[in-house]
Amino acid sequence: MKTKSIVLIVLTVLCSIPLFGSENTTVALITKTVQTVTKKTPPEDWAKALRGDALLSGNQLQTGKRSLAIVKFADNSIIRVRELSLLTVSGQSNGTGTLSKSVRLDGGAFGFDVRKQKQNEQFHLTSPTSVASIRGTQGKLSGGQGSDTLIVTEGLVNFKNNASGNEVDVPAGFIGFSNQDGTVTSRKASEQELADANNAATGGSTSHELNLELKDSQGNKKGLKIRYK
Amino acid sequence: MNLFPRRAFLCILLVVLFSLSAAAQISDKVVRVETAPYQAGAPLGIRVELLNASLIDRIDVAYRSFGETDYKHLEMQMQGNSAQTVIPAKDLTPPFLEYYLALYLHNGATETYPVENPTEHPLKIDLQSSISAQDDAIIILSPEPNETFRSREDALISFSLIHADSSIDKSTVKIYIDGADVTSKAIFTGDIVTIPPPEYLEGGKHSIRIQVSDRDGSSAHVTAMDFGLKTTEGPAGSSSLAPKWTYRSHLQAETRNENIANSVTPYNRLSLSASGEYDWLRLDGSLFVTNEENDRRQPQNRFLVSGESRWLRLGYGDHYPVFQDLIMTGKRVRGFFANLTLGFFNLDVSKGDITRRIESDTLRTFLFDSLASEQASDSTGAFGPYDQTRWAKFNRGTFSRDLLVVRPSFGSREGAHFGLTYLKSKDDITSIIYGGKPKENLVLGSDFLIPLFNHGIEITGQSAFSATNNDITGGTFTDTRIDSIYSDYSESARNTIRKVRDVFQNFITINENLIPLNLKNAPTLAYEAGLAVNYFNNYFKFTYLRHGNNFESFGQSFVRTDVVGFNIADRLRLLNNQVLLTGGFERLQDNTAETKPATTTGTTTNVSISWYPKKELPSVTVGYLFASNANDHPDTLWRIEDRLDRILVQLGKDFTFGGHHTAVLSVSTSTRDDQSFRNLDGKNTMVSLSNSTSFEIPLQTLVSLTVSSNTFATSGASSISTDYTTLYAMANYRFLGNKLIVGASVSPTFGDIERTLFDARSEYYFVPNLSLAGQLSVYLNKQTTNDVIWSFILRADL
Repeated sequence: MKTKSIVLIVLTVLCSIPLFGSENTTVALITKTVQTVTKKTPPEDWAKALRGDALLSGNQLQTGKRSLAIVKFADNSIIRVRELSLLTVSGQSNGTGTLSKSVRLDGGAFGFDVRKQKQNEQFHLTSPTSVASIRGTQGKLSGGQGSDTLIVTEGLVNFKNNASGNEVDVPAGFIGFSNQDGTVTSRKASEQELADANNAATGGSTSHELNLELKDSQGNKKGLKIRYK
Repeated sequence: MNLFPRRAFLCILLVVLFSLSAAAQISDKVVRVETAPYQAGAPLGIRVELLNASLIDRIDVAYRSFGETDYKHLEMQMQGNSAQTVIPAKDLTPPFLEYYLALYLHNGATETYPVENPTEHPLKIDLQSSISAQDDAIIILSPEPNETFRSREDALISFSLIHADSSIDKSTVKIYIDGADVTSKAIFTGDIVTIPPPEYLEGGKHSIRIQVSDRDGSSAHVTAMDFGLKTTEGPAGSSSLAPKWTYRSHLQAETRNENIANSVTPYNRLSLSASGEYDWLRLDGSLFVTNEENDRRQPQNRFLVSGESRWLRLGYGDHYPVFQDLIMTGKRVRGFFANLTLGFFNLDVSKGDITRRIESDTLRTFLFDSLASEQASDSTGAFGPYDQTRWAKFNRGTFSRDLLVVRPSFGSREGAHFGLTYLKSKDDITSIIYGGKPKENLVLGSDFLIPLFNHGIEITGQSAFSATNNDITGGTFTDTRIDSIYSDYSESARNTIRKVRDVFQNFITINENLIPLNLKNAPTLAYEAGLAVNYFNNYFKFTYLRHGNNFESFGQSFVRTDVVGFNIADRLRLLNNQVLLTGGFERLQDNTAETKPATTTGTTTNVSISWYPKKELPSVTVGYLFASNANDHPDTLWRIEDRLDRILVQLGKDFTFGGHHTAVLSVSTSTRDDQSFRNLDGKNTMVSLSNSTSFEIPLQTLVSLTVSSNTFATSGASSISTDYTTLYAMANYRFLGNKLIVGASVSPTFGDIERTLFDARSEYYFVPNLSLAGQLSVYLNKQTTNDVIWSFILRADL
């Protein structure tokens, strides 16, 4: 009887796993694209990403040169993906009303403005080298190809190296480094670093500018300035 | 006194049995006050329907957040038999807003609504909907607050239901854009919902409203947001979608007849508004003309034309500019305005008249020999030479008063900024023949906002220095006049006065009527500084303020002067926003100039708790306020010692029973105990019960019962009591596929005031944008003659 019960419980748990699986969970929405932004929904190939596109768990997003994408998660957390970046978004529903989110950075950088997470919710920023656990904060993560740099402008982030398991808490105003050799360090960030991270996280009060040169059929050149936050 | 006479008790019982009721006040000038549904973070509109509008010169709404002592005043925009204004979102703090109306009549008298003791027993607007509006069952992802999309294609409207827990039925989602149900167009991708903007969406302001119900249907979660759309066309640069003009206009013509106390007053009014947009340019115009306009009153007609681009707005006509709180807020100016918004630098300018000239009336003329006896018979009368041989007694006229206010500011209007404000206002001495004392006013001020950590912390400050000349008839004084007035002063002191005059006469008339004449205790300086901290569901604010006893701005008539002190307010949300705790303490003292025989200290302490259960049970708000004023002067003539206790209990419940009902029961009582020799005690109690219902059929009803008991002292020994009970029942029904709307109401009042109101109205839409409305109101008054009012209104939208 006891063995039967255990088998039943195990079967129930196993059957329940797909119900809470991460695939096909809608995680986020692309709210802005500038220049070249593509997304990939495996097994499909890369396709142009458009404003208003939903991102499912496992979707990848890539930005080209002088490009930008703003992604809003279902809980209103925001990441601003800088140029030449590649990342993967994931989400796992822990039951009705909560969603744990993860962004894996494989290259480039993004600013983040993460809303306060509910109980049983998590927001992780990962790379092949590191994992940063966030509960509600702002900053910028860059790297994804060896060493990672994390700047925190608001709140506190636990920054852990995957290889060594070493970790450090990075508070607001500090910059953390997670390296291939397993070391994790932090120091006070410079004003320039903080301004850059704040700009990446919030869009900044000052706008960025893209200068494009356009040619018409007669070869006449015209400049086009695109300002974005 | 028995607060619940048998008849009233029976009425309450009946109302409870039949789920009826809402608050009502008795006034012969205000028919009703309507407030728009409150949405957290959005301003709140208030509209007043008037009787005897021809008697009213101006209406202010005086309001304060719960626990604040001072009322802020906003002048309402009067148009015909209604007046309206919008209370800024920053002044709306749950659990409720207290307010009353101040009506300034043409004969110089002032009335209030409610009539009795409005400052201590004001009306209330429940702000509890903020709780449901702020819960996170619905998260709007796009637009951002107040975002303006460049085009319809650019418009992304999306929200998330990720935090809607298992108690919420996601299939009940309803989405409205500008009131139209667009739920069927929504695209659901998991918990993220996207709504393609409807094709009919035109350039201008729009709103989205989303609601979802609990599984048991007991309560709804509602979120709303405004957004703008610059054009209906595609993205800039799209050659096939070139900009084009879009227009909108509204016309309303009204004829109205009021027979009140056997006095018949006809009204004929026409209002026209129009707007047009072309790419980045927007033009607006409005005109209101009425037969009430005449040169013996301040302007009743209104007009305004304005043009607006992304960075500049210009206009001419009647406008209500808002500058620094201490200097200029909501006063009507007829003239020119400009708002330049460059981001890092902004400039606001308003110039025009705030008072129109009204010529004096000559009451009678007499020979100069009789002047002494005439003045003796009326020491406060106005007398002046009429011609070479005669003098006249007259009613003083009103000088034309102009005003210029300029505010350059640096930084974001909504974010971190620093601003400087200059205000100059002066009576035109030549505008009338006989007037009182013409005045002049100069105010200089500054203000700043420093937001930190994404507005988690906000530091604010403002200061203003005023100079007012209370009689500029004689102009700036001459050297001879200085020598005469200040003959007791030394020669060097008089020279200093001359030097000061030479410098400052370029800004304001300098003479002995100027305030301040010295800077001891800074009598015309006002400043405020505040720190707000908003973290962990807790909002805390500390404010320190000092307003000098002679501070005055012609652009802001309601700054409380001669006061210094601080106030602290704290608001805490608990249990997933189901419980709201509010507390506050304020301590203010007068005698800032140290010229009064005693310093009076006023303290106000308040606490309130609100519970908004998500299921079944009604919401509950309980509030208590204690206020006292005291000084320790030994002379009873100067002694002040009084205290006020106020208790409020309010229950609210939404339920479904043959229709959707919203029932509210409110009980409030205040007692004033004056321990001074004046013994101005008072007591007010009001119990109201209301129920509004929307049925499946196009029927809406509202039933309310109000029991009001007021006692206030008129002198040391006597007091006046006014007790009355008002029943109100109203129903609206739509016929012919919403083409015909018919409504009626009846409202009997019993007790010390006895009257019954019968009201019937209908509106017929010939086509969707053309309608004709008619209304008939009959007041059966027991003590006086009956009143009858009828009106017809033609409305057209183009």
